[in-house]
Amino acid sequence: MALTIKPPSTAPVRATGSPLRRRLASSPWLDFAMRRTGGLLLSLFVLVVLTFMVVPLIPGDPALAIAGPDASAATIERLRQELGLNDPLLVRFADYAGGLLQLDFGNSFRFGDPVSGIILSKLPYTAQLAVSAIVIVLLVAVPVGMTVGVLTRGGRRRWLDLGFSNVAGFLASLPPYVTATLLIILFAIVWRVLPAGGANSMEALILPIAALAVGPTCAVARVVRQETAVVLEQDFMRTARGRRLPALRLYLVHALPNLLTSTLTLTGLILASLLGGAIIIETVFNYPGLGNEIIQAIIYRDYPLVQGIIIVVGIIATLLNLLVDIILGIIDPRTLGAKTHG
Amino acid sequence: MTTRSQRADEDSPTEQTGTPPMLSIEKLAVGVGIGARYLQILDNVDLEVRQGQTVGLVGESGSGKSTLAKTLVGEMPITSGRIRIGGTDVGSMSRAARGGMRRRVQLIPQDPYSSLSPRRTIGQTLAEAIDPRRADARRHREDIHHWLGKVSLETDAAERYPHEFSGGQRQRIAIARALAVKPELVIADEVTSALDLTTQAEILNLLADLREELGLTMLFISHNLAVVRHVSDQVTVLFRGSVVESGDVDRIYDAPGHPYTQQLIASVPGGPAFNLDA
Amino acid sequence: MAKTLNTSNRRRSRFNPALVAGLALMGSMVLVAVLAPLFLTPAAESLTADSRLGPSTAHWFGTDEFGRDILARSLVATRLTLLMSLGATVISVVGGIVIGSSVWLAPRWIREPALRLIEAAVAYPSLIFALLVAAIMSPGSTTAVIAIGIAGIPSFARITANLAASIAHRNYIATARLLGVPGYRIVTRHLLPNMSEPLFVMSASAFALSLLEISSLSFVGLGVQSPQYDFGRLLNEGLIAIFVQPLQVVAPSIMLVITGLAAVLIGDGMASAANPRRAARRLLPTRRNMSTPESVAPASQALLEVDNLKVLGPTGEEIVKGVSFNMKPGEVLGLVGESGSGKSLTAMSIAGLLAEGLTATAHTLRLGDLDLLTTRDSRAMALNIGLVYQDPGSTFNPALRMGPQLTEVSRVHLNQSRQEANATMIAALDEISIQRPELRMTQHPHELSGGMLQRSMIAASTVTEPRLIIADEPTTALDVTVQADVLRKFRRYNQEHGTAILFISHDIGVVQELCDTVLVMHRGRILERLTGAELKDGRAEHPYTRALLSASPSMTGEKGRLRAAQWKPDEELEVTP
Repeated sequence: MALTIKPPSTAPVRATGSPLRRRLASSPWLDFAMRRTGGLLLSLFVLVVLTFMVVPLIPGDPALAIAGPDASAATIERLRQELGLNDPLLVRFADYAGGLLQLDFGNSFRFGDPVSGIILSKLPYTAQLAVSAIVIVLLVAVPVGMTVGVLTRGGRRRWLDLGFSNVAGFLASLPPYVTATLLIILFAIVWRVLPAGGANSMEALILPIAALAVGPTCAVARVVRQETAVVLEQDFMRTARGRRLPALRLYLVHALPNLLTSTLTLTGLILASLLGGAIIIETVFNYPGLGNEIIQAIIYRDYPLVQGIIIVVGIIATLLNLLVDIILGIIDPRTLGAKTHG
Repeated sequence: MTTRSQRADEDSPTEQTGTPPMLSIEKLAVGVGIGARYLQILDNVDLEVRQGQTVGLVGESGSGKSTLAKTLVGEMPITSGRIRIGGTDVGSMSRAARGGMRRRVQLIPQDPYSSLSPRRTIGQTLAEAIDPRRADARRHREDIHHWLGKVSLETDAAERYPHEFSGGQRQRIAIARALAVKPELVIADEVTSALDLTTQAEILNLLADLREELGLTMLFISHNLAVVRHVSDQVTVLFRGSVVESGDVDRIYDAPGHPYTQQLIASVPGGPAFNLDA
Repeated sequence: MAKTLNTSNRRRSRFNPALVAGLALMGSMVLVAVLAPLFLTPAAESLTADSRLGPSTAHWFGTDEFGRDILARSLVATRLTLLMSLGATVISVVGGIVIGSSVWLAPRWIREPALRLIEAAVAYPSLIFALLVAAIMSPGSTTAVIAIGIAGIPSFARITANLAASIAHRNYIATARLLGVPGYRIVTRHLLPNMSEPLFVMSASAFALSLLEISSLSFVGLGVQSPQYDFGRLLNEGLIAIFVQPLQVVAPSIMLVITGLAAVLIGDGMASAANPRRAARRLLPTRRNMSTPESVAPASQALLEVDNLKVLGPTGEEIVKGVSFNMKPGEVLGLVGESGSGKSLTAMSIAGLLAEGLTATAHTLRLGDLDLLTTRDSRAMALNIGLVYQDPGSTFNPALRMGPQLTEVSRVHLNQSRQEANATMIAALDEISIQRPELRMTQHPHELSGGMLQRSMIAASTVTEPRLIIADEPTTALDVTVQADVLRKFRRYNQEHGTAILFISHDIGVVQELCDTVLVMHRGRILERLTGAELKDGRAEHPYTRALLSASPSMTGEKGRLRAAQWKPDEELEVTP
């Protein structure tokens, strides 16, 4: 056996096969891209199947349900034709998926216009709302949570610990629509300083964004505080303390990046619920975004529009999730490996 | 030790006739991943453990010794080569037969803290070893008390939970669980690594007693060379997935043939060959 | 020590204020849910002419447009709301656990895509799933329960799968498989019982979430339909009249918030009761302080002087019980002992790096002219003491590259420029035989082997030429050949630079080879002081040291029984080092 004894402390190299193979296996970003693309396609496919199944799953005759009990037999038959309900399921699915590939979501039953056009005109409103809220959440929650975490480390300042966790816990458990109605009562009815709805001015945006951001801000701040406590007890923080670094350097350079990795994972999930909250908030403020639109579409059984909005929101949520993971990967390349379970 | 192999040397294991070895590994290769990500962990490994013998397996991290243990208990698939236990080829067995084979080999794991389910009493844990399907602690009371006695624990231990025991006591329980299956081969995977010196001595003494009493056949895996010398008849040295040397324990420790083995043995502080100023 | 603390605390902290408050709140909500429909239904549902009255003693929150009492309606709605939330929670929890554990049981080629799909589903707003279901079925209370229940399944499945994954690699699962226990039995016998606590906690959170989402579905008009009403439906009716009767949204809002808060408090309370680590928090502040300093003339030639050092635990108990020793310049001093002997705590007290909750006191603790008890001079501390820790895998910051970590002391305390510090460090790494040091500086810690990390740590701790290096079990996590190499680096550095080393280890072989002097510690006391050579020759006096020696298996081949240390410590034993 040809075996050379190298100094045993060099990194263990056990990969066999060609050098190219080894490089492919060891490039974390390529590996990440391949795995995530697969996952992305899989979840998009499932999304398309799910939205497609909406019509076939309607109990009884979908055409009857859509047209309403008063419709004439002729109307229902026309609707059946239009929906392709007489075709086999697979053919209909092929039509549906084929249309989606060409960004054709069909026409709205209610307005007769292409769904894609309606979505495009409403999307900017919702994006404005959600993006502003997300930015505010992160800008406020991370510094606040970390400061509280540092101040209460190792059981210091019990009063702050108790006060923060109770107040933030309470606000985090407030549903955004309740916050919204209370804000309307205070600012639009009692004090009359801000409009209670619409999207005509910047002022009209203040209450919806505030209502949307309060809960997630507190939820994320709690997570950050918790994670700060965990990170501060790690061995590498002791190493840093051993170097007698100034406090600011200790917390910003050493604690913060580690904090972000664990926080961002959870934040991704909180952002998903924020997206859901935006849908409800829009109806409270009568705000002309996707949320308001999908609620109306469901009430009027405008299925093409419902399907279209769900697919678009789904894609946005998936991309948001991917973005979080890419940021995570930049901060800490180890997360590129296996997707963290837990 | 009466069970010590009588052979003077054994560079050619096939010379030995009579009963087949309890464990025989031939040209074993094991890897993980597929295609471009395939990583070979064990390569061309030969190993033999005879009835009543203790074979020590030493190696550093990355040597593949844990992988070998996992392969032997069926947790990792064989890429190529052959494992025979008690003469039967494990690789050629049907799924069902392999299920039965599992109980013939038992593993004592390293970490005494994660080897016992925290929600089950010691009695329930041992009952599961005796009868994996029903695991009824009352029905097997006699047996449970018998095995607790074998590892020098009081019978009332059966009613208690793992957190009430020290690391050394938990390791005794893990040994009792492995033996309660009456396995033909015991694999001890770093069983004393997590223990203090004093506790380690107790466990090593216990294993020596049990070996004498029950005629255990054991594959003893450890990174601690002194411990391996203490318990083993034969020793096999693994380096990066391959066997570099194997044979009688005294011969290898006193006159290591392979340069890696020489380096390994010279690295043990307190050993005769150790020199810090080299 | 930490272990015993935890077990005793776990029993005590079953109930905490959050849990009590949550249970009390939820209890009163359940009471309302049971009683209100029995007594208040007429006030809540019969139409009267008293349309939109303001608050009064008869109607605390006024009446709605049909003259129904707003408060009564909110109270009566509690029953339907709670029942629907409960129903949805049960669907989410049961569905999630079934899917989560089946994924764990499934073969690998199903498991991976299934996990990926669950991950994707969780990243997706659950309300959208609910809307999807609501679009298929006609609006109503059953639809809402099913929709929210199904929408909650992915996140619960993910929690179950994650918990299963974290438990599945524990040895007892592998062992059970090895014993031939069938897969479903492993799930019911080992997996589920050991996950039950977190699953229970998560169920409380799932309830809170179901409550809010069911209400939001009713709120937008897709849930409960008239004449039925839950909190969400009442909010919906109230919002229309918000300008004329604001109290009509306030009453159901309050009810909703109280119920949600109760569920959140129960969840938080159960979580912290289940997590003994938080409950075990002590109250003493961490500070190194001194008892009355006796004016002892500094032992002239001593570099490090430790006199009557004690380390106190969270409740004031002595863990290190008065340790005294001196170190000469250039001396390599070993502290050896089994776990719990206090050797690491002694070292960390000298370094001023005790963990939270521990307090050190001493008559004297001095390094040269630096009083370690009182100094606030962080620069002097950083430059005079070099530190090497036990586990190289966790002592480096995983998020930072090696270079910035290794050069930090030089840059912060010596005001060196990045280039200057890097150049010095690269030379030091090269010195300690790390290949391609420039590359290592740009890598993350996880890309280096344990031996390389530990040698880098030694290089970093010596580059500022400290007067004392404290090495706490620096080779314990390393392979034996790497250990020999690292020990040689210590020896060489000591000989070439004359730097004193305080070396902590549990391995008698290591200290006897490396150290000039060895102190044997046991349960917070120094039992014996002897030279490395004496230890090597087995010339130990103290029965405990002799017991340790006879418990060590030998490399030279004597086999017999090991004498498991028989020596029992006598607490009254007066020991002088």
